[in-house]
Formats: sequence, C-alpha cells, structure tokens
Amino acid sequence: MFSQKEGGFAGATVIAEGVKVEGNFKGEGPMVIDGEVKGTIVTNHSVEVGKSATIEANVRADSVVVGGFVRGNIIAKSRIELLAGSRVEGDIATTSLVIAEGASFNGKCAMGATKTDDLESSELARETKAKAVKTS
Amino acid sequence: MHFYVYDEALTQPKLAAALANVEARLTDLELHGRVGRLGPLKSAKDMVRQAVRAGATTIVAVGTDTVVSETLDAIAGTDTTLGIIPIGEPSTIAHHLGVPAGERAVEVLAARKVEIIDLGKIDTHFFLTEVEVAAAKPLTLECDERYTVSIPKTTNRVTLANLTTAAHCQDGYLEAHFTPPTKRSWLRATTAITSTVPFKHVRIFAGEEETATIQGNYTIKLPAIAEVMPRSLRVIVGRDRSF
Repeated sequence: MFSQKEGGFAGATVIAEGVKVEGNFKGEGPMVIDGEVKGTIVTNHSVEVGKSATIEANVRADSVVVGGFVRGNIIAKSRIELLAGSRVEGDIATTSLVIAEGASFNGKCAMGATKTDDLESSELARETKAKAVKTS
Repeated sequence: MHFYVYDEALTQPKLAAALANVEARLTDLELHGRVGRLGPLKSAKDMVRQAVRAGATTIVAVGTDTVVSETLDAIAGTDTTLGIIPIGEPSTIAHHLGVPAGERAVEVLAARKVEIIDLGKIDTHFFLTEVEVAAAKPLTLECDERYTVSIPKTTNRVTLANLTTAAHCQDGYLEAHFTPPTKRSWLRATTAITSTVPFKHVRIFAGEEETATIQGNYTIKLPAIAEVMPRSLRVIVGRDRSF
C-alpha cells in the first residue's frame, strides 16, 4: 500500500549505545540516538534522544523527545518533550513543550512559530559566519 | 537479443534436471540467445563485453548469486538489462528481485518488467544487495564528508546494504548496519540494537589497519571508498520483489 519514495531516504537513522558520531549529522528521516553525538543534528523529521544518549550538539528537527543528556540548543518546529530523567543545557524553541517531572532544563525557552523561526535564523547566521571565517 | 551466462555450478549432476526444464521453457517461449559457460579460464566480464559488442541487449545470469555478481560487475552503469534465472543456492539476489527459481523464472523473463535500481560500489566491486566489511580493528566511517561514525571496539564488521528487507534500492542511498555482540549476564541476555546510518558516499578506515575483507572472500586496502551508484542497473524483476 505504501511505497518508499524514490530519491530520498525514508527509513530511520539509528545510533545505538556505544556508537560515536562527530560532525554535521544531517538526516532525511527520523533519528533515534542512544549513543554520543558531537556537532549538529538536523532532520525534517523527529529526533528521539534515548536514556543513554549524550548529545553535545545543536538539534534542529520537526519534533524532539529527550530522554538522555543534551548540551546545545534545540529547535523543533512542532514539539519538544523532556522525559523524566532527561537533562538539557541550552536554549529551546518550539511550538509545543512538555516537561515531565524529574526532567532538568537549564536555558532559555522561546515558544511560538515566529520564535522558532527567529532562533533558527540566528543559528543559521552563526553557522554561516563560522563557515566563512573557516574558509577565509 | 539475449545472452545467457551459465554458472560453473550448473555442471553438477543434481542441477542438470532443473537446467533442462529451464532450457525447454526458454524454447517454448522463444527466448532464444547465445550461451556462454563460465569456467576456470573464462571470466564473466570478458564474455559479457563480447556479447554486448555483438548486439546483446539483455544478459541473463543462470545459476547462483555468484554468477549474478560476476555479471553485475560487467554491466553496471551500462544500458544493458540484467535478467536472472536462479538455479541452485544461494539465490538471495533473485529472491529480493521477486524472481522464483527454475522454470517460473523464465516466465518472469518473458514478462520483462524492468526496474532501474541503485547499485553499491566498494573499491572496484559492485553489489546489488549487501556486502560485509570486516577488519581486525574497529572501523570508522566518514559519511558524505560531513560526519564520522566510530563503531564500538566490540564490533569490527559493518554491513553495507543497498537492497534488503529493510534497505530500499531506489532511494539513492546505501545503509551501513552494525550490531555489537549481545551482552549476556547470568540474569538475562540483552538484545543488541543495530545501528543504521544512511549515506551516499563513505570512506572506511580502521586506525592503522591496512586491509579489510569483503564477504570473507577477498581483501581490499584501507581506507576504502564505498558509494551508491544511483539508477545504475536495469533489471528484470518479478511481482514478489522486496521493493
């Protein structure tokens, strides 16, 4: 009934516990992360940060569920959920936010579609500047 | 015009009856063509190239996955169409393409439903389904020149997949799969989770290790490059294909 679209990866990217990723981690489908990631994480779908995951990266996705540790900014177009036991150190911007009892969050929070776009634009501008400095 | 590449394994007496049935069905359906038989002194590459120069537009690999892989190396990236008639085992490639064994494969050939699919390439070797890369030391993957993936020390092998039950062969990507060994304690065994990383181009290396083995068969030098060849193969497929 459903067929995988041509010209695009529609499966899930899975980073299991013990696996380390470093760099500009860009995906096309949902991401499930239980390992370590340093750098940036970008996808148009969902990102699920498992209990054993350690993320030192800025995250941009449609929705983000955090069960582990994230040090970095999280921008989610539709939703961010911080589960019990999760730790986030960084700014977050989203349209809908759920923080469970037992979650730890240290940073600024911006809600609403325009705020999400604002934070995304300023992050993109920062990244572009950093790239320009690197190449020059 | 068809050209049939016969697997060396077809000389076995136990496969003679199956081959005779296939040949009879090919005659019934008027799918005539020249035949080339692989042997110790005959390579599929040379045989197929000569056949294409002589005007063959469809190369049919008759036999196991071995003859399919050898034929693939010869026609990848060209306009020549690949057909398969699986006789003998293993025949996993035919299974994924929905081509049944024996005589019924001839009917698939006659129906001529052609799909254009991706191929994987590692070093100089093309693969249609998947290949396993193993080294003595843990592997690191540098994906699409954007990020690196360091595989745990407990795992020294990675499978690069193009067409499997999980991987799709028309999405322009390959997938790297690796699974650490299952942890066991006296209480219970923990199921290991397979990591899946999609990529178009990957550089594989393993510290100062110089070589890795592919499918346990042949050795390649590290660092090795693996990449997807999007829409590189025209292949005749059956209804029960896995994509």
